[in-house]
Formats: sequence, structure tokens, C-alpha cells
Amino acid sequence: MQNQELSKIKVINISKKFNIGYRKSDSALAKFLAYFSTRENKRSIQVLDNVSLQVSAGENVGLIGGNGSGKSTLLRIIAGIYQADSGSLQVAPNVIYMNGFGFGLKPKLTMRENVFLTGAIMGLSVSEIKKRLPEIVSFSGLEEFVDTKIYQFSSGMLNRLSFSTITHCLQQKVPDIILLDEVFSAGGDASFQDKAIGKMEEFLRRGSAVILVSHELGFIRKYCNRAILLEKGKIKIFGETSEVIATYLSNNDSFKS
Amino acid sequence: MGSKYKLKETLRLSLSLAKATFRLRIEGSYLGILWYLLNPLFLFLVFMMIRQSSSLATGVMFYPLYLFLGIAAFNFFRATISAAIASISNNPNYIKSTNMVSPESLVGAAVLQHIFAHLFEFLIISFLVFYFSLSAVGLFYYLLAFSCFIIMVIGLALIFAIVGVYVSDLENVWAIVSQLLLLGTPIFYSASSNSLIYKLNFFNPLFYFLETSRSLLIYGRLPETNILLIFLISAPLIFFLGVFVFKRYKYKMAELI
Repeated sequence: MQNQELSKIKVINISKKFNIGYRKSDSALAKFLAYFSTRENKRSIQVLDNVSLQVSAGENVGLIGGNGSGKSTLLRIIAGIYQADSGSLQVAPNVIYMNGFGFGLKPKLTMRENVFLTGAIMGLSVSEIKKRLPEIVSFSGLEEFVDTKIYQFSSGMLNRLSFSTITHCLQQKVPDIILLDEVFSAGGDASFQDKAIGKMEEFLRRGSAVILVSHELGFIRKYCNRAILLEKGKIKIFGETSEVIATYLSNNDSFKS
Repeated sequence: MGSKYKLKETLRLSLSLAKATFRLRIEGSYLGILWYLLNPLFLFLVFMMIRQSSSLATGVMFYPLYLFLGIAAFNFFRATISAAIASISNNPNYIKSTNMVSPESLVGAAVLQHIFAHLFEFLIISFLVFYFSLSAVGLFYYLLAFSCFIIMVIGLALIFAIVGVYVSDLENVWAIVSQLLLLGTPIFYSASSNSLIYKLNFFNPLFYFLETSRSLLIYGRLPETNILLIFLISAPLIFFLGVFVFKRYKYKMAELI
């Protein structure tokens, strides 16, 4: 039984529908004509259908499911990026949502400038970022490229930079909720992957309520006490990680091999 | 307390994003900071040449200052709204891949970036004021009027940023509207108070700042009472309207980019 006091995320019967429009209908002229027209040029899809869940402090919950099953939409609703059409949501105030690590990078800025920009996005002051810069640079292993514009970086180097910057900026933070959407691919070579996984482990064991979306089932198995399988916007099963993964695999022939 | 903290965070992040964009524009270019000044300077030169060889605005005192005030105000207005239109729709990563960048800070960055740029124009305005031996106190009043104009422009920027998400070709529409504004606002000519163009300008937000700043700097007095009153009242009204519209539609917009 969940302890109500410790519950950081409480989602009750959340549903969400998206209108699938046509790009042409976004122009000013089309909007103007549509105002006088009664014809509806749209269809909608149900992305989430009566989803309920509860996650407590210190708990890591895995969220798995096929593409388009509604995983990212659910996390974005919890993070306050989307609004649900119906249902209720009780979420602790301090939430961090990340879909990948490279969202803040500007190719025409140098590595140093990108660290400062990403740090600012993560809520750090200039002096805090300055303090962490040597650590970030050393962790990324990109000491020689600090003043190089990052459009010249390979994709592995970009991954190293964004992963190092974000994880170090989050170092002293213990948010109530961490929502990680496909971030378990830190990129880089094998030695960096090992370092990155170590860093992520630190991050996941700080007592926040964590929901992890990943297609890497090994990670879900390793780090999550419970898991949810979403299928066409509905929770198919929410329970022990091994049981949920087994259900997912039994439904998905490609994984069996 | 919560909203005060949120406002502080939005301003801090807006400043960091504006600094990054500003740096991107001025670095890697031999012209550097001149990029911000080239457009108004060329317009200034063209209109000065036209005036030399025509009877354009012959009765206007201190025409170079009169003209540059008009061009600087127009340039700030045009560029800020243009940047605001692109601020959300060109940054889906910031909106959808994390919850750490508030959409308001993207619009704030668009406005701040052009406030920095206007400071360079302000230097030219100051030079012209000293050149014509006008009262330097007017410069202080100019900054007060400009602050009021910023409040108005923030409101409009918030509205245009939202509409820019819904209407995909708003940038093209704005390009046409800003051409009409350049020709329709008394920037390089003067309109008598009983002319049709003067009356039409009562619907033009740029007009109020222009009249106020010229009265304060060139003629050393307040503008006509009705113009001053409309300016002072409409600025906060437009600001709150912008905040209201933005708050109302901001959740929907994440679904559209």
C-alpha cells in the first residue's frame, strides 16, 4: 500500500487527446477562411486514456511501451508542459523533466559558452557555473576544446558535453520529482559510458520520485522497483518491474529474439 | 513569494538567453556590433538624401534627430516583434524537451536582446542631442518614455509569440505590416494634426512613443495631453492583456510546435 504522505506524484484518470491538423491549415489565410467555414479539417487521436498512478519519494518507476503509446505525453503532463483534458493531478512543486540532454546547445557558441548557457537554463548563477566548469570539462574529457565552437564537434563529443554539463549542474539539487525521457544514452565511447552510468546512478539515488522512460529494458530492470507498461494510451500493467517487462516482451515478438 | 521567485527566474533566464543570442549575432562577423546599427543607419542616410533633394519635412526642426528618433523607435519595435514571433515556434526544444525553460523567458529574451541593441541607437541619439545643443535632461525623460514603451512592447510581444505558434506564416504577415508601419507612421515626415494619416495613427502603438520622445527631446516639453494619457494608460493595459493571453494559451502551444 502506498503511503499517501510520501506520494510525490498522484495522477488520477488523466486523459489527453491531440488534434492532428494539416500544416497548410496553419497559414494566416487558411485561419482566416476557416473562421468563416463550418468544415472541420481535423481529426484527433486519444493519446492517454484514463491513466492513474502514484509515485512516492525515493521510488524509481520505469515507463515502457511502444512508440506512440503516450509515454512522453504522460511525463509532459506531469511536468506541466501539456495540460490534461480531464482527470486530476497532484504533483510536488519541484519537478525536473528532461527529454535527452542536448536541448540547450547552440552550435555557433564555444563549449565554454554553451556550459554557461546550459547552466543558466538549469538555474545556476554565473559564479556557480564558474565553480563547476573545471569539473564539467574534466568529466567530459574535452579539455582541449573548451574554446572551440561546438558545430565542429562530433556527435559523440556533443553527447559528452551535454551529459557532463547537465549532470554536474544537477549535482547539488534534490528535486521532488525527476522525469527522464530517453536519457540513458549518454553517447561517447565505452569508457565514457561507464562514467556516465555511474553519474546517473548517483543522480537516481538521491531520494527524489523518479519516472524513467527508456527502451533500454536493462536500465529499467536495474534501476526501477516498479514499472508501468503503456499501450495505446492505457496502462496495461503497473507492478513489479520483472513482471511488467515480461508482459511487454511477450506482447512484442521482436524482443523475444 | 512564489510568483516573485518565478518572475526573478524568468528575468534571469531571459537575460542569459538574450546574452547568448546577442553574442551569436555579433561574434564571427567583422561587422560585429554594427549589424544592429546598419539597418537604422542606412535608413537614416537614405531619408537624409531624399530630404536634400525634395521638400520632405522642410518645416521640421533638428530633422536629423527627428528622423533618427523615428527610425530607432521603428527599428526596435519591428525587430522585437519579429523576434517574439519566432521565439516560441523556433525553439521547440526548449519548450518540449525540458520544463526548465519557461516560454515567458524566451519572449523576454527576444525583448531584452533588442533593448541591448537600442542602447547603441541611444548613443547616436545622445550624440545628436549634444550636437544640436539640446537639453541633456531630455535624455533622461527619453529613457522614462522608453521604459513605458518597453512595457507596451512586452505585452504585444507575448501576444505575437502566441499567435506565431498558431499562424505559421505570421513572420511574412509581419514583414508586410512593418513596411506599412514604416510608411504610415510619421517617421521621416511630419503629419499635421488634422490629416487622415495623423488620425489613423491613433491606432498605432508606435506613434505614441514617437510623439512623446520627440516632444521631450526636441521641443523640451510634454506631448499633447491626450497622446500622453493614451500612452501611459495603454502601455500597462496592453502589457496585462499580453500576460493574460499568454497564460491562457501557453499550455496549448506546446502541442503545436
